[in-house]
Amino acid sequence: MSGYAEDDEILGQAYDRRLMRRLWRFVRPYRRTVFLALAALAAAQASFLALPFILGCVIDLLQGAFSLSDLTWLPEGVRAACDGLAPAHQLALLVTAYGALVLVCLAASALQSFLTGQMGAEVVRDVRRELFAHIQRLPMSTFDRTPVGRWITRLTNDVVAISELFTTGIVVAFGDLLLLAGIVVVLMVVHWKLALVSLATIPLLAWLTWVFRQQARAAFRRVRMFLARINAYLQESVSGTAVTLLFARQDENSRRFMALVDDHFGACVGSIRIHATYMSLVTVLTGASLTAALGYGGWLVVSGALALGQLVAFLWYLGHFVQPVQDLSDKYNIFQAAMASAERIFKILDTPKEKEPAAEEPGTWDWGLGTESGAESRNRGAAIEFRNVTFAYDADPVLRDVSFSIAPGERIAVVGSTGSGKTTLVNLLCRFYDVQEGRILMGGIDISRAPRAYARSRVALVLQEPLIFSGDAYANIRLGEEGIGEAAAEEAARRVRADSFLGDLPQGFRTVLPERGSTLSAGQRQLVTYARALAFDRPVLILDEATAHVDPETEALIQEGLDTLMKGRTTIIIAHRLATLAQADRILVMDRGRLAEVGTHQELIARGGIYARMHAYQYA
Amino acid sequence: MTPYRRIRGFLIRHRGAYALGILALLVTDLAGIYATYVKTDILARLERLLGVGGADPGVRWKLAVLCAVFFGAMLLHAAGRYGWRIFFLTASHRIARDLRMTLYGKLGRLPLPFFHRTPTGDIMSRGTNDLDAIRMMLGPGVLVAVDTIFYLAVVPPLLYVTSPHLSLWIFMMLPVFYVVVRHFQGRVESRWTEVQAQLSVLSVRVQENTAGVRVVKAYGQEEAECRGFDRLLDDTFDKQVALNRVQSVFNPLLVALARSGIAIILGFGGMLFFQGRIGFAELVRFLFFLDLLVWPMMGLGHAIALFQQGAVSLRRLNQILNEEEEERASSAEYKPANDLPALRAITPTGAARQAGEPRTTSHEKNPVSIEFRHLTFAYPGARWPVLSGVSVSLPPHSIMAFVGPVGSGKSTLAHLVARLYEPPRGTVFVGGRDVCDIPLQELRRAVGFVPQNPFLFSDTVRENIAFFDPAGIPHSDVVWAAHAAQFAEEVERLPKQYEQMLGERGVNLSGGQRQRATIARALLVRPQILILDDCLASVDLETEHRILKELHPLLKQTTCLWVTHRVLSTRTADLIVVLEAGRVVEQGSFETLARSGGIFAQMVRRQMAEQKGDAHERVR
Repeated sequence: MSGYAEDDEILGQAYDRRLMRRLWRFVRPYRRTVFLALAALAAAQASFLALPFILGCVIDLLQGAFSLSDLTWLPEGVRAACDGLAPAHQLALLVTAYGALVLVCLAASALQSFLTGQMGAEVVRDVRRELFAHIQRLPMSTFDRTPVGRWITRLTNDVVAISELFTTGIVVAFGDLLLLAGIVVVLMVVHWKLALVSLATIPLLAWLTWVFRQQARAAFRRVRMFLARINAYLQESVSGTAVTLLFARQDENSRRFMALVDDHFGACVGSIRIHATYMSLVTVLTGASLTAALGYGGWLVVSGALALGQLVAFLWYLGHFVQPVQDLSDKYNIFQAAMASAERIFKILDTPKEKEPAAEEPGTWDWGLGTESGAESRNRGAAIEFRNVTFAYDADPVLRDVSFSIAPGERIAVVGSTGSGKTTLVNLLCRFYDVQEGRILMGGIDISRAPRAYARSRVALVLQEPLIFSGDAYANIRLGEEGIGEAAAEEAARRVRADSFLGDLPQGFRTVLPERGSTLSAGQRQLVTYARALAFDRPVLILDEATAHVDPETEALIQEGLDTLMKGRTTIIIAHRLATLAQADRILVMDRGRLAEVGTHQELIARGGIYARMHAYQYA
Repeated sequence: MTPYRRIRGFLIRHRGAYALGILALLVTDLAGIYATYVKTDILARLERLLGVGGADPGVRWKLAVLCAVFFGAMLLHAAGRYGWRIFFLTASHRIARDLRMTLYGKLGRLPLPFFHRTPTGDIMSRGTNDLDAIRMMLGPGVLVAVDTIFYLAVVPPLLYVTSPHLSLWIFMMLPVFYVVVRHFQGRVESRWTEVQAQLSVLSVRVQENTAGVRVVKAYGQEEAECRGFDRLLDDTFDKQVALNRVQSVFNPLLVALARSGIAIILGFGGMLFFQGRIGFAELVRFLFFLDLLVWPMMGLGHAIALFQQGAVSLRRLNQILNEEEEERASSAEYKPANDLPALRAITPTGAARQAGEPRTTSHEKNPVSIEFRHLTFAYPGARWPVLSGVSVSLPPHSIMAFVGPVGSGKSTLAHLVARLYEPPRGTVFVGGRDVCDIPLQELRRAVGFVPQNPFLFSDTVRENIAFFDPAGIPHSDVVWAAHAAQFAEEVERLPKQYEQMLGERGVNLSGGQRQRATIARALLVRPQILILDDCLASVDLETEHRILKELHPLLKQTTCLWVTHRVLSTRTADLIVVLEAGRVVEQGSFETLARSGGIFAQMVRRQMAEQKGDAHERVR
């Protein structure tokens, strides 16, 4: 299954006020950092803006057309002191000021860059933390619909895209706008007529940028869409490697991948063309501005209306006008990507968590979560009753009006053909899903009205597909449970006979077991999950088709351990192999969502129904 | 080995585009420098005119002409910029496309063990994020680097020509510059490496958590998972902040260095001017030329970052590209088997017959023998061999069942025949040939393999069943295979039948349905060897029985290696091999073994006893 699909083709607006407001929540805790960064940025831009001005002053000073005392904004005393100062000393003062401002600019930009980087890292961490915690609480149905790869992209790339919105996006855009405004103001102050003439290109620039934005947006969408398809294909190819190898389909797959990659390449080239066109047109407009400034400014200088140094400063400012404009137009992609990522992340955060009963309700119930002694609580949870349970994942019910009860300590086997609803019973009992009609009671309490922990803390689940996490044997047996010590984990392993092969690993129990692979066989992995179930010591044990991968010999080996495990526990075994069922007190036979037969092995054989027929098949 | 060696070939292949890019860049930069020259020329003329007074009407014309020249230079500059972006960036996308295809092709040639030890998330992160970082290096990175190098090569001589005196001061700054770059470069790179590695760790963690969500929830480990993830996030944060700390100083420092150059020139240039040792025109020109260096300096920091990130990513990508490949005959040498192997000639019974038999042709491929000779095999890194001294021979047209305890090496045998793992030379023979000498493509196209894990692709039912050769297999054959695998009825109930999309954008099949789809897929290979690797584990007995009955005549037309846990189902096998701890302990027909009183007989007795309810009594 692919991890990159439709969702990755979501492309929102470049600016979406609703999303921005929600995103602000993540930045809010760091608003002081943000404001400090903006202040530093303003300081950096201001000191930067002063540099060409000083340059102009120096040039006029050299021309003898300037003295520090001409600066009317200086305090009267300073001006008076400067009045008689030799030009060489004035030069020294100006250069010192220039150097000092360079240092201020350095300090301010470093500070700004550090603060935004820090804030970005913090936002990334916070969003990831919240998102991960939320994902932990999502209902099982969400996981059954969502491929694993998608969770990864949400928590890595999408989160980064959001933080970039604030770091290289908004903050830098603010700086660019500030600089542009600053340049316009300074130019107007220096010589407003010259400013108007040389900035006459601005409306054209604005129009050009607007047109470019439309084009760039469409191009960007195409690029993203094709990239999502490439990644989806790549992901699936990696997951299905064994199949591709076995069927020697590499060449055909490569051809298909090539077609996707070519589409993506075409889209990229289109996008490059648009950008290149825009960039060079901006350069033409800048050239026009500079030419106007040179021509008109030169004429003004010749007619004595403008000092030469002022013209130099003017040209210097204009030369720096183009960079922020180009910068801003590049910000578009960052905004668009961030909005799309935000949309996808909020889609997860907006998925309701697993429902818990309303806060006032628990008072009316005694959940037995700590108020009773361990043994009492244990027994209470160990009686199970299904009352007229009907359940559908989608439209068609997979369980119809199922009722049965299980006494504490009883061993129940559930059999039935594929799709008869066996696994659904487990899903409901573990409260992975909630019943739609009817009730499930554990210890006399309706589990859907109790906290989820009520049902789950009473159940130990062993799945058909043994799940191994990359960690050592201890971590795999006790998971994150602090109450289970290493000794307890080893003991559990010993009782299911997993200690021998775990002990044989290079670093024994401390050997890191890989996610998949050959260090352990499927059956050995299954034994590790048995040890896990044993270590958790729950009153109800559910073996969901857990014997499918364990052959009779190994099963005999762990039978002893399982016997110990099952002692005093309500056990529900779901298996295809009738041999396992022989130990059950009663057998439930499921057929197309209904409970078809209940009884002991002999009773069911004697009845000559579905069970008897299944039995005949295996031993025919 | 330097990471760049890998892309040298790509760079050479696209040298034309890069050459044109460099040419365009020369035009751009030279035009830019010339425009600066004209600008300063105008300023110098203005300065000379100031003394004379702007009376001469010819002066205005001169000014206008110079402005026109300036604008012309700017137009050239703009045109160059267009070409330069197009050539460099397109070339980088071309290389990214090549790299993507190289990676994809490589993944298709890597052996299965690689995928067992490398998490999917890790491969994806290299195929997406790292690939993008490499493209950024080869596009914008190269672009900025070439630009910077050009300016650094051209501007200093210009400075020297303009004023040897002043340029001395600037050249004295170069060592400082060098020291700063060296100092930061190493730090940025090592910290960036750590950040990237951490991202992989994060991806793997998310993958395990979401893939194992049932276990996490059933054992109530959500909190513990969040705690573990938080610790990871804190590590990630620390590493990101460490990188941020150096990066936020590096860029502003480079810019400040360039600007302090201007301060120095203002100071000393002003002094020289006052002393009459330098003209006004020289000073202004020097300043404007020097300003040309500021932008490349800013770009230099950026380019260094891009190159470092690219190098790290290239190294990560190289780790995959340098992995040892499976030997695989190139597709050029291999001629696909259009002749129809055995299975097409035979007549499926029952429902499959109604679906119409596949066409028969003049050629028929006969099944071939399989032989294991003193096979001893250990998985890479394992302490003990999983198979030792196994010698078994499977004649053509035979069904051989392999049974034995968990970890006895049954599945390993199956994998070695298809060379999913590489057997030692001289131990596994197919049709009398050492499998190590058979080109993989040929071997795998002779083998139909039904794996334990029924993986299907997010594609149509038809594409999945006809996976072997989607273009070449006629629809009637697909229907035939679906019937033979007892899957057709269910397919026909799907909304779009054989054109139904599976997976996320379509329907999800149950485990049993998937297994039957994978059987159909293997049948269409019309294999000489059919390997069933415990592939019916999640199908219930009734269905298994039906499938086996239907398949039996088909299996007899191949050489069938059948791994199973269901001892009693092996009655239909011609020969049964019992493995224990990697050794063959018994072999023979069902009747012989069952009567012999060995391990197999025990297994059979136990199951028989259980089914008769003896065990049932015992438990009671």
